[in-house]
Amino acid sequence: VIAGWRRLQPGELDHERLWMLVGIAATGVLLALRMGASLPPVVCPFKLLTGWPCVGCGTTRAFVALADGAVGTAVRLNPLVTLAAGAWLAWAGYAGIVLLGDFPRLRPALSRGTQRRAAWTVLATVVATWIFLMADGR
Amino acid sequence: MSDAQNFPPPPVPPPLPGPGNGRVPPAWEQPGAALQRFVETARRVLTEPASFYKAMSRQGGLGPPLVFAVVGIVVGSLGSFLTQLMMPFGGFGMAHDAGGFAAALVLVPIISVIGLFIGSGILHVLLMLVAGSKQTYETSFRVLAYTVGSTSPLNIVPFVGGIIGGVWALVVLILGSAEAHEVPQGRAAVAVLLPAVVCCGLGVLFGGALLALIFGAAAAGLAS
Repeated sequence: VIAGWRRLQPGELDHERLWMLVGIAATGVLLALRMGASLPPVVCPFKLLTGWPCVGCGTTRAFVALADGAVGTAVRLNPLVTLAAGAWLAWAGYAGIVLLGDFPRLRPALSRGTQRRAAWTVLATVVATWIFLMADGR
Repeated sequence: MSDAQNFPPPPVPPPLPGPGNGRVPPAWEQPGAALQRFVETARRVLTEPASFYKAMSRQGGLGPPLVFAVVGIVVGSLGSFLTQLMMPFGGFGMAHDAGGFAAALVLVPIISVIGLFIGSGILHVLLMLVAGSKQTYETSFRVLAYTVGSTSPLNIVPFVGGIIGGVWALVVLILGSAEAHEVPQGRAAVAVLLPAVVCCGLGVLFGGALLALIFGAAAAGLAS
């Protein structure tokens, strides 16, 4: 992995700004839903058809638990989603600093081997979450 | 030995992908009447997906495809609502609940936009990891946005619109990802279908079927 810091080129997509905005918007929608707007309950078609939970089961409840500050409950409901939310928080911290300070951006270059290892890590995390959810009796 | 032989040239940032290789902006991003541009783009995505994405430029900003997708989603949602209202046995509870409908009218575009960005992020990461794509996030976003914007209006078709649109969206997404990212179709299919199979994406496939079942049950209940 070559961790390179560089300035954005003219016209280059500003990922820090984009994902910061998407995260803030998603959090806003979540809070709006939490504060009373009503939507139909989410029915998981995978569970409906197979009786098993999908790897995304518990996502909505985990986000609601996170909004309430109940991290332990969120981990129990869906560890993968909680991990993703934590990763986004770390990203938001980094993005906030480089945006406010107008600093160079982190643009790592991954070798093919690193990409392959990353793919296996992602797959292993997803499978582990799935096994956990099934073992937890969802 | 000269210094030039001892030291490599200084690194330069990677060039931005250009519209080269014969790629051109789709009709939606060209001048003309908005309705005509929308219909022409959607028609090409639905009927000639491979050639559309093979010719689509990979840059041009996120704005135009985002607007296209939101227009398609809103048209599909509103059309679906109206067709539900016209059904002899009525629609789902939400369609008849004015508050729920108003909330959905506001929230659907917002959630769609958030979903588009996150969905294309997941698609992009998978295309990089599974297919070794070297293209930018913008390419994945453009593929997903034009696919969603073109297939969403199919929801207007009663009963089967949802399932046809969902299945065709997956087909278009696979062909589009392969052509725009210039990766093999098999690997593009894995990248597209992996989240669809693993994480509730089966809803795309079976949501329409469930809709038909529910409507069928309601119709049978009224008939008995």
